[in-house]
Amino acid sequence: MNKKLDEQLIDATLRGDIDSFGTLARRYYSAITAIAYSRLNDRHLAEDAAQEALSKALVNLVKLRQKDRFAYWLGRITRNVADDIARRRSLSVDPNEIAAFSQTNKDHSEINENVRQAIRHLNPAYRELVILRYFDSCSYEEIGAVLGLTPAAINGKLTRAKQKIAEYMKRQGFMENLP
Amino acid sequence: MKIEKKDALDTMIENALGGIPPELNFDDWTHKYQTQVRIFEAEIQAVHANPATRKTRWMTVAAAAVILIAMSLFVVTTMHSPPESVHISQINLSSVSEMSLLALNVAYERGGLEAVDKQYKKAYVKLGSRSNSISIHELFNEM
Repeated sequence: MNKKLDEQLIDATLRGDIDSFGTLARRYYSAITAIAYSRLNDRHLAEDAAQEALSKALVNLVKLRQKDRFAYWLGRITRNVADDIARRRSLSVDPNEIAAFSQTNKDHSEINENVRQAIRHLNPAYRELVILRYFDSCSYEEIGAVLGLTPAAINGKLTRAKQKIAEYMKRQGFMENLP
Repeated sequence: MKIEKKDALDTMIENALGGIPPELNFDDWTHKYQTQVRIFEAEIQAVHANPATRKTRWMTVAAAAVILIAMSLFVVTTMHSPPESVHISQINLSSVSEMSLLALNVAYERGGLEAVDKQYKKAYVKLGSRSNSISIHELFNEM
């Protein structure tokens, strides 16, 4: 993500151009929805959380000191909002079943179910990372911006998360040809 | 089921999680969160109307910090300072000391320093103590 562009959009927003905030919001909407989804396990709730996080970000934008860290800041707001929603609705942060992001994707095949189960068994940080990566194919740069991680750190954590998924799948009888 | 490791895993995760990415309709969003938008607009109008607001706020905080530090220093130095000096007149003398002072005072009025010296010597004789220092009379003799 272009931090310079973020700063320009923030400055324009602070000058009263609300459409600049719209551009900024659209840039990170997918990523923050993925973050919220990793905690709420519900696409509609995740979108509600993302939108509420954006409203909180707008109200507090004047207070933001490090404009180049906007994405990371927004990511943290989203986590807080998602956790609040989870508490309000008495949802488990570690859900029993991970449903597909898309409502149109109703493929409940055995493989998909097992992959979701494998993701459910990941720790929250890995689960957030995997969902960010495979939801809307967020780039390492986008993931790094919202999580505050370097590409090398993302690569390392993602590799470990995928290894854990692969191990789980192997135990379930899939991917027998893996070492 | 034989699946190639890396590509297959990526594809499997994408299939399990992937779908239509969410899109933000910003017009709907501004309508839904119009209260927050108004709060933001009011806030930036206030900042533009008085650009020094934030600066003043920081200056107020800084001034408060200075006052707090000064008060802390005052309290610390007061707690560790020696007790105030007390005038001799504030000390309650014992009756023996008062009598000694009175006797010396009367002697001085009667015969000056020599009378005071004699009074000392009388006291020394009665008490059996001797002064190591030279007497006023001896001092005058030496001079």
